[in-house]
Amino acid sequence: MYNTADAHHPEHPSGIWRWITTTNHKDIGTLYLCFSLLMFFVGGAFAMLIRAELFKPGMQLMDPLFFNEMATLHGLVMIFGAIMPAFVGLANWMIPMMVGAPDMALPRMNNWSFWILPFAFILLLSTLFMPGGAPAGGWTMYAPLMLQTGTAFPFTIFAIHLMGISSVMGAINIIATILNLRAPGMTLMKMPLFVWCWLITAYLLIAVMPVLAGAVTMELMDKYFGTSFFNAAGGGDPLLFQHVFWFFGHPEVYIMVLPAFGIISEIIPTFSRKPLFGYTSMVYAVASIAFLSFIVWAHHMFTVGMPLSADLFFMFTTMLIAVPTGVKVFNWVATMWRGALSFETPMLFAIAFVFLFTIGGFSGVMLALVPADWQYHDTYFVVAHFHYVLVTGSAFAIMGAVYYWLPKWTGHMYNETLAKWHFWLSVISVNVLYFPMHFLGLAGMNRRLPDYPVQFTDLNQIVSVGGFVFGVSQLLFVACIILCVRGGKKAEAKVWEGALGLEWTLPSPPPYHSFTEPPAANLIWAHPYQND
Amino acid sequence: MSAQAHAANHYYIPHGTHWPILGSVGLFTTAVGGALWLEGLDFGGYLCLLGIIIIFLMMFGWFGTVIRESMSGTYNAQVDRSFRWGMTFFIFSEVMFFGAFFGALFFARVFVENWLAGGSNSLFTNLLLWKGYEPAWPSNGPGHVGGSFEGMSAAGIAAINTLILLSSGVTVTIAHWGLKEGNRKKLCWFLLFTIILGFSFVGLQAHEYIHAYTEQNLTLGSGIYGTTFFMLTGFHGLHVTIGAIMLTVILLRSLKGHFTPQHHFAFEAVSWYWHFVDVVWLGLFIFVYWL
Amino acid sequence: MLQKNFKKALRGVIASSLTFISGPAFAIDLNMPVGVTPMSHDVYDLHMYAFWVCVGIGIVVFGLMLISIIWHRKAAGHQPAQFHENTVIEVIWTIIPFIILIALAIPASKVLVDMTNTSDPDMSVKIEGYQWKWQYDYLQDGFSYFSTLAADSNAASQLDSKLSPESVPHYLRDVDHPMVVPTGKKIRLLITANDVIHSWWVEDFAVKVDAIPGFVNQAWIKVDKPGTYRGSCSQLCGRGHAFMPIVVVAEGWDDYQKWVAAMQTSHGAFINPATLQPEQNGSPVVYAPAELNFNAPTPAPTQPIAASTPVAAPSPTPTIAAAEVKPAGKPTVAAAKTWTMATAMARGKQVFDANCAACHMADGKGNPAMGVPAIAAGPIPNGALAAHITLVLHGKGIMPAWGNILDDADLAAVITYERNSFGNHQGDLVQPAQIKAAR
Ligand code: HEA
Ligand code: HEA
Ligand code: HEC
Ligand code: CUA
Ligand SMILES: [Cu+2]
Repeated sequence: MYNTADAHHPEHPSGIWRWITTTNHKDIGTLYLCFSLLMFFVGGAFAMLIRAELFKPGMQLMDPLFFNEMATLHGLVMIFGAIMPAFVGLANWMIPMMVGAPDMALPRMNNWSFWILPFAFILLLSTLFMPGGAPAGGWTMYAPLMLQTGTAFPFTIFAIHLMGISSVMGAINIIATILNLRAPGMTLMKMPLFVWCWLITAYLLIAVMPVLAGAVTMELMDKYFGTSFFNAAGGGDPLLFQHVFWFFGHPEVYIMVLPAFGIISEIIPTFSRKPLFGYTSMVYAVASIAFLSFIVWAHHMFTVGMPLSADLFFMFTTMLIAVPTGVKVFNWVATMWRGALSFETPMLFAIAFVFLFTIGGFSGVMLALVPADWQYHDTYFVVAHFHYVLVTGSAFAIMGAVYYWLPKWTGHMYNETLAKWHFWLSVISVNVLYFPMHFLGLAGMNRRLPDYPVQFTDLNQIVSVGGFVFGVSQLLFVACIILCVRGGKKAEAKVWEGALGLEWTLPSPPPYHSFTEPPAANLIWAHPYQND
Repeated sequence: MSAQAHAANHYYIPHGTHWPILGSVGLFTTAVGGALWLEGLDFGGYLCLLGIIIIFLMMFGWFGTVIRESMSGTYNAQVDRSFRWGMTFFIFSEVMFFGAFFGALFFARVFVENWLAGGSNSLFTNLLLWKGYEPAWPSNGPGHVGGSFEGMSAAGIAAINTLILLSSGVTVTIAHWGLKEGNRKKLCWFLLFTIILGFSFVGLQAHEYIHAYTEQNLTLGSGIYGTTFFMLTGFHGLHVTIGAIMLTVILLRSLKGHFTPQHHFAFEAVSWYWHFVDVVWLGLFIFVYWL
Repeated sequence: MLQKNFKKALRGVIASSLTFISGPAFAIDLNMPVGVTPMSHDVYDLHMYAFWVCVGIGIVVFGLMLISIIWHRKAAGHQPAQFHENTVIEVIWTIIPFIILIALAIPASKVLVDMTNTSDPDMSVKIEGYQWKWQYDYLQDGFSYFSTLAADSNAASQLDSKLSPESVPHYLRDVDHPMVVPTGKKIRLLITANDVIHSWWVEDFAVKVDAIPGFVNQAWIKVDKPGTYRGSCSQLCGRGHAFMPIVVVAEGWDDYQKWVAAMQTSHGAFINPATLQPEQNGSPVVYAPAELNFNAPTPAPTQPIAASTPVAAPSPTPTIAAAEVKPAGKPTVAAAKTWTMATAMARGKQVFDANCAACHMADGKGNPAMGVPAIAAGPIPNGALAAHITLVLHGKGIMPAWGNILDDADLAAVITYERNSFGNHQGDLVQPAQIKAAR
């Protein structure tokens, strides 16, 4: 039995009001996922404009300032609007089901964390229509350049504040759910890895989102209240902003990849029909990555002229992250090793993730070498690095997760043929899109350029074509989702032959309140991890 | 609501709620209003105020619902634990928020002063740009931004305020003991003391600020010293104010007899918050006023 | 670290393999250039070393995955094993990457230590970033000058430009006044900025140092080979970020000395056609008054050269804070000049295109998106002269204070030009003396 305050009322009010007032983790998860998909397209549309302008040298379509606005908004929208909400949406849907709970721990606050987001993005995107244009200082918003933003400035800052509030509340909810609502018998070391990864990600979120809020608040103070945080004449330093920003920013990039690690750690065992290799070391690896992520931030600032000792410190700590990340990669490979692999779309995305994320990780390690970073920094080499870890990393993991759990959510199988088309088109075009960026960067093309010397034309055209194909391919993704929601072959409770875990014990689609009674302990024992 | 609610193993799930959307509208209105006001449009200020009022309304409604549900015994130990985790991590996020500003202070004092004066690898920063600048604290930087001013001393108001906040930490704890003993009188009186101490702190700080602006020429614009001083103490003062308001609400609820010796999460949450504000002040006292 | 021969071999292998990948279709080298300073060689080696290490790890990891994918398929009838732990192997694959990383960190640290050693230079040049140009200040020689995007690149990069970028030599990598350095000398670069953060990057030197307002960063170069080296600002600095290139001409000591002498005589207004590559001729805006042209030296200025006292420790040069002080070596000479309407308008146009057009646009229409007003029909260019001079001298908001940047003659010329172009017909002819008086 469970106890709802509305036990005697109809479960769902109808229409839009249902979505606005819902406290149900599945509804909210759905809202997050839809919002994130929308933002992926908005951010992607900005990227398409960027790629169109860069198709040829010379300014074709827009003013250079507008180009900078596009790059800035593209970064902000993709990070805060697409990737992060997608992970929170997955957490909302899956964590209660994975730990055997009926819902999230703080359902009302859950509603609020979502419903702040659309308002935050209205604020952010409305700046496009303001005098002086949208913010154009890059998603990193470095002072003092950011202080030259026009009317858009305070709107941008407040939008960031709202996103921060939303993320922190979402993270608090996830932690409370995981720590408090696990089914009896599910010890921490029996939790699915997705849950573990999210637990640690939530800690990171709570630790760093307020720091970002602090950083942008200081900019606000400098612009409107005459403070001297970033003004050398007053004893401040523009680098202060960068330190505070990257203290947030680096953990932020792991916030965008740890849940992805969790997803991959769910998908690979399922389609290898073999338990995850090294569960315990996977947990410790994630924890070490999270810990290390707090002491590497200045690797984004190797060219700012830090003292030698700082350069060395941040170089070593940064390189160290390759060790726990390597453990993860090796464990995935070992999970596949001598399994019985099958290649449904989620597995294809997971395999692509392991390949391509690792490539992104390699360029990361190269970037960590300070003297070499002096050549790579702020070039397309960096752009290539972070799109490999973010697009073929985070975004691919999200796509894999959607295919993996969509039958569970909707009760229908998606169209495997269409999904495979989506995968293959994406995986080919994404490499056409991002791989040549390495060469562009090495050859000397800076990032954040609306226009470039003619010798870079050929490669940029290849990149742009890759970008357009990748963009159009994403329409297939939407098609797959819509078709699957509207119908399809009936999905069983245990959608995938090799799948293990509590979520697969519920029917597809699962009941409105996932586990109205704590699941039987023996179900948890059936979990793949440490089952002997 | 149903009587079995106290059974430990049962989940609690609230029905749909319209408070969050109201809260979001409130935040949105505050943000838009604030932004317009900063950009020089006066009506933005009113809009901002309207937003804040909406947020307050939302809080009343939301907390009201929670209080009603809690009073009627809908919640169980699990819900209580969830609330506790929630508050704990909320406070942790606040710690990190303050951390950003403390970080700014340390960075400016320890590194930037030194660099501007030519230390570390920054000899030429001093020679070419700020020749003759010596590291100092308080400092308004080599440009003497804001003109000369007088720094804050740890004696005087700061010391008194330290005493006030520390004793308010004691009184709130005594109130908690009272609550646990079921001694309503003790609870209410010591809560009242705490609130009085809290608001006296705010009052003294306001006095200190006025003095700084009028007598010491110490303003937000007084270079990095004024910047960090007002940012840190102001942000803290805001928290004290919010904490004192929350304590007032708790006092009213105590007077109404909302809390039982076993069941008083709201009280504890606010007292945690108060202790947190207290600890932050100690940090401020040491690093902003004293050292 | 690596043996010399091995390095050479490695370079050969990578060069040929990259050429192979790239094929003849690409106009550029796909790899990092080896460069022309000792540091750039080391960095290149480090880069290639790290690259091959990654390739090696990649082959192992991806190879194992591929084996699984090919042989351990369910479709091929493979039965899943059930192992899921093995402490020994986990320890091994924690330790081996660790060792690999140490092997990467050691050479990286060595190169880093060398690169940050800016002591004992033969000379120092201060480089200051502005939105959107560079200022080079030869501290010991007492002159400084600005270096802006070449006019043809600028024209071709406009949104509605009819010029194709392909037709412009060194599109976006060309400036009016290049930086000139002697070869074989250790040169210390002192890098800072005036407004926002910029970053001075010449890839062939492996130098990329952020220019931060209020702080001076250091780097050093020692150029092996004479030649023209091109780079650009690499930190986002606003609308013109793509349009503030860097050109460094390295020449032998004697030529360099000649250049210095000419610069001193002309107070930084000199441009040396001899240092320009043949295909470059015509592209730089000749910024100097005709009488200062190297090829047609007219009588030297009547006044003594502004004191170019050799300084042991560089003299303080002002920036943002001390805005009243003029940079060392700024000509006072030119102030003695008098313009005729024709000379002022001609010079004014040059100054306008080089300095003002970035924001106010070459047609004087301004840039509303940036909040930059039009000069055409603007209230100030068509209002009181004094207000116009004051605004240009002292700036306002984003509008820079040109009093610190341009000399009296150029200021007089550009103001004259503004008041009599773009449909403005004020008829004023401003003289340098008026500017001097208004300062
Ligand atoms: C999901 C996001 C994500 C992730 C996971 C990473 C992962 C890493 N990143 Fe990345 N990074 C970004 C997102 C991310 N990054 C972004 C967005 C930026 C740019 C921000 C901006 O400026 O706008 C950036 C920029 C960036 C820089 C600054 C570059 C510059 O501006 O000059 C650096 C420098 O050190 C860096 C390093 C690393 C390293 C060492 C890792 C490591 O975690 C990678 C570890 C993984 C592996 C190494 C592969 C697997 C390991 C093995 C197979 C084991 C064996 C391997 C070895 C022994 C080498 N990153
Ligand atoms: C988190 C995620 C994320 C994701 C998913 C992406 C996705 C993409 N990014 Fe991303 N990018 C960043 C994060 C991300 N980016 C960040 C942080 C920066 C730095 C910003 C800064 O400098 O401040 C950046 C910067 C950046 C640049 C450099 C800009 C510059 O420095 O000047 C470029 C250039 O090519 C680029 C391209 C792309 C492309 C083509 C995609 C594609 O993958 C997008 C594909 C998706 C779509 C296209 C949408 C779906 C399809 C449609 C809308 C249908 C219609 C399609 C067509 C009409 C073709 N990005
Ligand atoms: C970095 C951009 C920038 C550059 C470069 C620039 N200006 Fe401006 N200018 C501005 C801005 C912004 C304003 C508006 C100032 C204000 O009113 O706040 C302005 C205003 C002016 C005005 C007043 C126009 C009016 O009628 O209101 C004049 C005259 C002017 N500038 C002249 C110049 C001259 C001469 C130069 C070059 C020597 C120059 N500007 C270069 C940004 C620039
Ligand atoms: Cu200057 Cu970019
Ligand atoms: Cu990082």
